[in-house]
Amino acid sequence: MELADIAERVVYMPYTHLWVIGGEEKMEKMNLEHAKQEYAGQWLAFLVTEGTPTGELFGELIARNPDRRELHRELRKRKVKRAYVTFAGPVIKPGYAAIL
Amino acid sequence: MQTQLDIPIILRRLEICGPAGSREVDVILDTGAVYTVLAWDVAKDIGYDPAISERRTPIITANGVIEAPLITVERMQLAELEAETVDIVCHDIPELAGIEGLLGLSFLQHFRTVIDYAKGILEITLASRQAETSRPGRQ
Repeated sequence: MELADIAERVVYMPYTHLWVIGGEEKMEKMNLEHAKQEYAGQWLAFLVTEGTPTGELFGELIARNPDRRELHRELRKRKVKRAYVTFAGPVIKPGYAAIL
Repeated sequence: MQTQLDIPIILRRLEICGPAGSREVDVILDTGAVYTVLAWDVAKDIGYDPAISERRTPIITANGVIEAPLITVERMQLAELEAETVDIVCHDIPELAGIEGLLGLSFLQHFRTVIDYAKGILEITLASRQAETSRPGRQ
């Protein structure tokens, strides 16, 4: 394979900051809490692959977006079968109270 | 399942399954809600289209009465607790909240729910009748 061919196949993975050669996406295993700190204020779609007895979750960040609806649109477009969708921030915005 | 009580009571990773897949979402426990409520997008992700659902139900919210689509999802699971064919109301919670639903009685009615503020514990377990029939060796 020529160098030029390889260069054409290099893909940047924005969520994991990895450069990947070829079409196969190999994602890095992440701690969900770390992902939440890094992408605070965004909605995350996370594929949980591992959990610890203390409640820590590990897996792959599938997608992220500040807009919840956009994130779901992306998941449907990519035909993602399984995902944990969670907000990286307080469930109730500070200063507000929930009355349901 | 047993968890520490916070206010509001947030339950993480409620799994909802449909014909196109599954989603796990964070929800608020709402023992006053007849139905479990999920955002439209979650229903669409797992293969339902609330817009064409023939079943509608009027729901009373803090802002008044609205009519919302009602669907039946294949399965819902919270920790080890599982329920099949659960009725769900599709309704978007305002975006100020970082949740995508409310866990209401259409799911909770399958279980025994104890909110113990004195001990600071929420416990949702199989109802005693279910627990008895699921004991190994019992007919």
